[in-house]
Formats: sequence, structure tokens, C-alpha cells
Amino acid sequence: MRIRIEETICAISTPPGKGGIAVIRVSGPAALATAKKIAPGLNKKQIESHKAYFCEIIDLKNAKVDEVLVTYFVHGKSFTGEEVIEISCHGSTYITQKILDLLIENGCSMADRGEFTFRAFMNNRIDLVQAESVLSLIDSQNELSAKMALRQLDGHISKQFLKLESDLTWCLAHIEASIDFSTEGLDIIDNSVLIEKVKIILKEIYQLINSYQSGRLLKDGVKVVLVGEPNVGKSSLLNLLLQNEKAIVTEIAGTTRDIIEGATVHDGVKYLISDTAGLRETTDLVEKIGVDRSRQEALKADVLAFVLDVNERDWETSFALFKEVGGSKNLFLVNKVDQAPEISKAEITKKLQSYQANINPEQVILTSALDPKARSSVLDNVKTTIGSLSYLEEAMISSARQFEKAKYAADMIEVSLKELEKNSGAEFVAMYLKDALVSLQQILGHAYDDQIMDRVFKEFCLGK
Amino acid sequence: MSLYDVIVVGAGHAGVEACLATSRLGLKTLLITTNLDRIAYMSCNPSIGGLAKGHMVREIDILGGQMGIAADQSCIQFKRLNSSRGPAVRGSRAQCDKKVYSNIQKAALTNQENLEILAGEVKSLLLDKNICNGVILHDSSSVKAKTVIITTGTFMNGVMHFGLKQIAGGRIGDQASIGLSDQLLQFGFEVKRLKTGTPARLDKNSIDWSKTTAEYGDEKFFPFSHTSKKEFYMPQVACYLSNTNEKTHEIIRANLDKSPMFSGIIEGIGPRYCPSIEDKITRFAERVSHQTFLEPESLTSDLIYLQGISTSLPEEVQDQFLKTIPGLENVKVVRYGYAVEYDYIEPTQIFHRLETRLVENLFLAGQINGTSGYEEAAVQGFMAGVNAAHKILGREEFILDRDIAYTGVLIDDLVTKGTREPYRMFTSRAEHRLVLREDNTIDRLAEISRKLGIVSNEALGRLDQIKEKRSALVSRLTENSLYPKPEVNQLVASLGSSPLSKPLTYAEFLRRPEVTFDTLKKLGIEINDDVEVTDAVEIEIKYSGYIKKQNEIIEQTKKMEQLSIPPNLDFSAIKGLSGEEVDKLKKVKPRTLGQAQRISGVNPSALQAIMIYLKGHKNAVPIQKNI
Repeated sequence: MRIRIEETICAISTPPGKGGIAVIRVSGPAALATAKKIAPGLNKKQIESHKAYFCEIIDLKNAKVDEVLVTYFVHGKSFTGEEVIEISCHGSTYITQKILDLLIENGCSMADRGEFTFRAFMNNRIDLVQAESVLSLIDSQNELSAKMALRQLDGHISKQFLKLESDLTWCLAHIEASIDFSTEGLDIIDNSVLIEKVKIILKEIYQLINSYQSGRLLKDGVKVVLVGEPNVGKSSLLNLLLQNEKAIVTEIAGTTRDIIEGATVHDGVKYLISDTAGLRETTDLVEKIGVDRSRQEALKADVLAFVLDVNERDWETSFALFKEVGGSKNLFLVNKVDQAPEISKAEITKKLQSYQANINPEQVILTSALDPKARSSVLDNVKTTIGSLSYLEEAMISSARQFEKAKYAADMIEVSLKELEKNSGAEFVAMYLKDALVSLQQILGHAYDDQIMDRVFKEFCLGK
Repeated sequence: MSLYDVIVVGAGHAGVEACLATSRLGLKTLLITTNLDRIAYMSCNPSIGGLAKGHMVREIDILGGQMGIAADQSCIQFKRLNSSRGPAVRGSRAQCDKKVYSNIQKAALTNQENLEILAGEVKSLLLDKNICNGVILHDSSSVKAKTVIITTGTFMNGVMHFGLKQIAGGRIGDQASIGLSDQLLQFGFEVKRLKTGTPARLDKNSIDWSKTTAEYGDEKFFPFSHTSKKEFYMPQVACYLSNTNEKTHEIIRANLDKSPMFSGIIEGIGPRYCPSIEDKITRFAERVSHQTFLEPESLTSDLIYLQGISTSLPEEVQDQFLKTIPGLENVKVVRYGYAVEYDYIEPTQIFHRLETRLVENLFLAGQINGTSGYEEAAVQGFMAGVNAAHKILGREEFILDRDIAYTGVLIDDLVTKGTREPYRMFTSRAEHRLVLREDNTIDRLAEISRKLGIVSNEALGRLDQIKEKRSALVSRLTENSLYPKPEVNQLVASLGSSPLSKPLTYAEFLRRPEVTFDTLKKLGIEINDDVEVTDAVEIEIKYSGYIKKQNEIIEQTKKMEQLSIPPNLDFSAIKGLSGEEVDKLKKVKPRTLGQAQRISGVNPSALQAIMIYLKGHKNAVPIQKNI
């Protein structure tokens, strides 16, 4: 990212294409002055922050471009922390481009991708976690992920990290005091108290780390991969789940050669469904590549949906495949039940268990491409299998960067806990805890400073 | 032509090291002090060393400093603190005979070639624009020199407080030095005020020792100096422990209005780690007792130092509350406790080499830079002396990195962060504590010392021998193995360790938590008895996992330390820095990105901005004109 704070930047903030209205955002020291140049009507008005003004945009030849609403945000009280103007104009591609051109002709620069958020971070308006959440919010395609991003922007997760930072600092303050003031008759806390405290910190940090799985699933979507033998109806199921005819469906085994993927939203959650080539031994070169890809795809699944044909007498081959590609979270979609209405779920489950004893009834779903209810019953089951998506009331992390830093901090805290339990030197414990602390501070973009000594002085009665 | 190469103003712990360093480097040096009887005087507690402080004494000792020698020879009680804790945070402390200590230092000065001592008071600096070239004495005569080092301690505009009564002076019996700080102020230096305090001195014959508990020192002596004998130079004596109680606290509480601290007379900020007894009972009201040590000041005097009870209450109140402390019922006070307020120069105004940014050839060291403690003062004095000499000799500035020495940490902290309270060194101030140990001082600094050239070749040769013996021992431990033979395992088990299942090198075996060199000796492995050799080796091997981790962390931070910032970079030309950040960066002028990171109030986003800026201007960095 370039740093050019002295420049005023502008960009169309609404998505490209036609719309009722579009918003152009201008940020930087000359935002208002530039707005006044292209909308001279503003000069006659007393402009106050956070208020919208109706005016006309005039081009260089003095012709009217559009009637717009201009909202002004004073320096220090805007998203970026700089002086900001937002122009709401009519949403034609021509008009938005024309206004943008006028802004640039009057000295503004085109904003780089993410530059507004970057400026907000540089001006200390938001921390790194919040900056990341802005991008997630913009990218969010479903209700739950939007909610999650909003909570992060709110500082919800930052608060959790700040609390961890503060608790770790407390532990370090006590350890440091026990080292540096060992001769001063302090009431040094017992190792067992520290151990308890560190265990609580670990528990909390693991909660955040574990939320990453759900956070990621909410943000990116739950990946469901349909696998099975050829011609069991995987492509029909894909079309049903996606509610469109994305995959070609024929009676011919081996129709699907490549991965076909689509996204769908159900009950606020996004799902990425992929259909794969039926798994079988084949000499057809193209199909063989498809089969290999299917195996690869199966490895990436959050939930593996194993599709079986109810009419097939023997599932021996299917289960041989299952043993090869089955993951940690599996569903068994027994398909084409419309063709065998006499068989009950209990019987089918029993049959499945005869191949794999630990299959439980919740994993078994009877489906039929003709049954419109099958979609929700499959997706509801996927959600139950994932299990942790109801986590939303808790703070969740959703970026890989946050996850890695938090994981590193947790690893270091684990080591320091072991050192504490071994009762090894306090300076060793402190080294690992400090390393963990730095990692947590990096999550928020905070630097390490003298807070430990400050805590020491606050908490202890010292005298040389 | 200057008459002298260096003038050192002040003969406290900083001044002594400074003038010895310059004269030992062959430069003609003049030491000016107001009171020849108070050379290297221990104005407060009678001890040298302690955690982190002891480390620093050893550091300058290897480089050619003097403090360790005097501490060893005047030691009347020796303790290795934290000896039950980890190896990196063990620190040596010596209770010293104050008289003997001063005499040793005085003798060192008197016998030093190239050094003259003058009794006199410096009124002001001799300046040619912003270049210092000497001093003006009280009788208005001037003395010229190429460089001047000021080490005036608490004497600049010093005011002593006894209750609500005030007397000008930096220490009881000595005058304050007036004028110097006004001159610095006029020159544009930021001068601020600090406060410190000292407890009462008692007559040893008036104390009922039976009501106190005797505390003895260690039997084993680890001298600070590599040149000292390994046996005690003086007889070892005890210190005595007693405690305050509710009655003591009641009297103090009832008289708080007579304390200059609490009535608002004192403006200077005092050290948080060394609060007065008034402070302690107010801030920690729930504590019913505070400990105090009764420490002899000298074997040849009756003075007892009352550690932990510094106070500035009026004399009659001191008499009253002291008598409530067990053993002091009939105590005779020889000298009452008092507080001192004094001027210091905000240390962000000096370079790492301790030369001021505003006035060339002017160096500052010791309490004038806002520190507290004899050891902090001494190492600054030494470093200022070396740098003043290097400047005259046209050599590179002499700076120790944070991962090399506590001395480096101290100076980097001062010039980067400044200080608002008297700065004392703690082990926790060093982020790379595990590699800054007492036992590896030689490894850290012997080569640097050789280049520096103060320590004699003979002494350096001895250090080389220690290093050679250490590496020979390491090879022996890593090349030889214990085998899981029944007789070995039987012995291993009897020493409280689990039997071997496969051969282990001695070093691997030593890494077991319960195994020490003593265990190896009992197994018949020959280890020599010289702790100078064995300590470092045992620690390096036994804790190698931790030390490796520490070195990894150092490597990571090194990246930032190696990104140097041009000395005259114009920070206001960098976009993305707040006004406050530009001000702080301009003030401190960090040498590296790592140092910039340590300035409080400079955000990570600012570091990002500087980094991007430097990358974009690799060849042409705009330079600020008038620095």
C-alpha cells in the first residue's frame, strides 16, 4: 500500500453497474474543497459535519451532471479519520464515472483497493482485527457472516484479545516482581495461583482459536463434497441443492468428468457444494483424471456427502471407496428413494451399519431428486454435522492471520505452563509468556511496551 | 590548543569511572570536585551490586572499569541473590565498608597516570557557539579541554528537605551546584526535577541487637572483578533484620501533614521502587508491618544504615517513630533521613555515546541523566569516558547492543524513552535476559575489551585461558558418553535419576533436570573445580534449549535493529506519521527501526510508514538541515 496521506483519494464505493443510487467517497485534506469546486452550490451553505446537503454537480463547461446529496464528515470524526465527503448520485455508470473524472481533474487521486480502510488503520481509528473485519463485511454474502464481521468491527473480538493481553501482563508482572524484587519481602504469589491463571488464559485463547473453524465456515461457506460411485445421482442432487440445473444429468454412468461447484445460502449460512466424477476404476483417460480430482476434492470437504443408490443390492464397492476417501465428518445420502418407497430408514440404516458399524441414524438421509424437501433436509443435516455454527454469540476469529498468531501464542503459553509445573526458572517461564504476549499484540497491531513494569509498580509495595 | 583533553566534573561513581577510562586510554584528564573528602562516596546504602546492577559491574570490569575492584576489596558481606532461581537472574551483591571503598577509589585516582585532580566548583561551561571547550570555575578562571563530561549527580540545584524545612545542597554536608543547570536551560536543554530520599543513620551502641535477627552472607565469594582474589579481602559481618508495626505507622500517619512529599512542597518525582516509609504506609495501608535491615556502614565507624525506611519527616517525628521499632527503643540518631530534589537533563537529549545533541563535546553521565544507583552511574561514567576519548582519538563511537550487555540496555532505554522517575536497572528491562548472565560476561565482552584496549594483555590472556578451558570442557562433555552398564545405572539410580536405556553423552545426561555437575563428579567424571570455568559451561549445556529459543527471538528482533535510519532523516517528510510521532522521532532520532519501535507513543503504523518510506528512497533520503 502506498502512503500518500497528503493526497485526497476518491472511489466509487457502491458496486459497479447500474443501481438506483451510487455513492462516491472522497477522503483527504482537500475533500470538502474539491467537493465545493465540482458542486459550487455548497459554497453558499454553512456546511456541518454528519449532515447531507442537496446540490448540483457542474462540469468544466458549466453543464449540470447530476443532482446529488453530499454528506460531510469533519477530520477526526470519519471512518478514515480524515476529512471525508460522500456523494450520493444517481446510479448510472456514466454519471458515476463522470463525477469521478471531475474529482480527479480537480486534484483527487483514484483510491487503491482497500485504501480507505488502510488509512483508517494508519490514523489509529481501527486496529488490525477491525481492518480485517471491514474487508470481511464487504465480502459477506450471507446474514451470519455479515453479523460476525460487524461484531468484529465493533471491537468485540479486539476486546477479547485485549483481555487476554491484560491477563498475560498480570502474570508477567508477578513473575518479574518475583525475580527483580526477590529480596524485598514481597508477598509473591504462589506458583499454583499462576498455574491456575495461565490455565484460564489458555482456555480462553483456545475458545478463540476454535472459533476460527466456525468463523471461517461462516465467512467462506461450508464446503460439501458429493462423492460416490458413478450414476448414483450426485449431479441431480447438486442441481437440487443449488436450485438450478448446473450439472448435466444423464442416465449414462460417468457423465460428470470434472468438479462442478456452486454456492447456495440456506437459513443464513453459505454452502459451497461440489459434484465430482463417480469413483471407479477406468481406462478412459479423461475420466481417470476426473476421478483423481474427485479424490482430491474429497480431502477439502468440511462435510463429505457420500451418495448411494438405494436400488443397489450390494454396497461393497461403495464402502471400499468410502474407506479410502471418508473424512472426519460424513453424511450418507441414500438416493433415489422414490424408486423404492417400501424400504424404511431403519432398514437402510441397518444395512449401512452392516458395512460400517459406527454409522448412526443421524448421518443417514433418504433423498430423491424429485423430493423438493430433500434440499433442506440435507443442508440442515450438514449444519448439524458441523455443529459449532451457533457459536455466534461468542467472539469469533475469521482470518488466517489472527488464527496463526493466536495459535502461536497458545503454543507458547502451553510451554510456559509446563515450565511452571516443572518449577523451572522464572525467567524461562517469562520468556515464553512474553513471546506469547508479543504474538497477541501483533494480532491487534499493538506494540510491546513497558506495561509490565508499570503493572509491577502498581501492584506491589516495593522498597529497596 | 587545549590544556587538557578531558575535564570530568564531579567525583562520584560516574566521575571516577569516566576520568579513569579517559586517562587509561592515554588522554590528559582533569577531574574537578568540590570536596576531595567525598570521592566515590556512597551517599545512600552501603552496598554495590544486586540483580542486574551486579551484572553491569561485571560488564565494565571486563572492559576495564574500576567499581568491581573496589567493591571486592571493601566487601564485608557477600550474597548471591536468587541463587535458587534460574541461572540468568542470579546477581551478586556486596555490602561494602564505605570508608574502605572510597579510599580504594581515591588511591586509584591518585596513582593514575595522565590524571590530575582539582578541588573547585564549576560555575559554567566554556562555550564557543554550540561547542564546549572547557569550564569556568567559581573564581571566574577558565580551564580549557577538548571534551567535558558532567557527572554532578544530585547537586544541580539540589534542595534537601527535612520535614517542612529546606536547605540548599545535594547531600548533607555538601553545597548544591547552582548555575550549571541554568546555563543548560538557557541553551535549550529540557531540565526537569527528580526526588530521592535516604533513611536515618543510627549509633550502633544505642541499639538492642537482641531484638533483631542476624542475617549472614554467603560463604562462597564470586568477586565482581576478574582481577580480584577468590577469597574475601575483609572480615565478613552480619546485617540485622527488624520490622515496623502498627504503632510506627500510626505515628507516621498522624504526621503526614509535616511531610514535604504529602504537603506538596516537593515537585520532583521519586522512584516508585524505593518509596519512603510515608509512601509505603499510605499506598499499602493494609500492611501492618514493613521489614528493615540494619546495615553497618563501616567496620571502623558506629554508623548503622536503616535500609527500607527512607523518610523526609521532621527530626522529632523520626525520633518518635524509630523508637517503636524493636531494637531501636533507645536509639540515638546520628543523622536524620531527608529527601533531595535535584535537576536532571531529560536523557532523550543525548546520543547513545552520551554526548549531548545540543552541545558538541559535552558528555553527561550518572544521575544527571535521570538514573538512580551507584552502578547505573558508574557504567555511564565509563561509557562516557570511553566515548569522549574515542571522539578525541577519531575512533568510532563505542556502543553496546541490547543483546550484549545490560549497560547497553540502560543507555538505549535512557536515550530512547527518556525517564520520568529515577531509572534503576532491573533484569526485566532486558528483553534478552537469558543471554545476559553473570557467568557469560567474558564471552560477551572479552573480545570487545581487547579492541577497546584498557585492560592489560596479561589480564586478557587470563580471560582467554578461561575461555579455552571452557571450550575444552564442553568438548569433553559432548564427546564422551555414559553407557547403560549395570554398575553405572545403579549409581545413577542412587543419585536420584532414572537409569539409562541407551548411551548418553555427558552433556545429554546433564540436561536432565535433576542432574548437575555434582552428579557427574559422583559418577567419577572429572570436572575441574574452577567455578569461573564450570559455571558458564554447566548453564550453557543444561539450559541450552532455552538459550536456543532466546537466540531465535534475538534473531527476529535483529532484523528491525539492522534496518538503520539515516542520522539526519527528516521525519516530517514521511507521510503517514502523526504530528506527535514526528515530534518524538525528531527528538530521539532513532538509529534503527528497532529503536524507533521502542519509543513510546510511536505506533506500529508509523514504523510501517518509515519502512515504506526508506524502501522508496533507498538512494536519496531527504535530510533535515539544521539539526
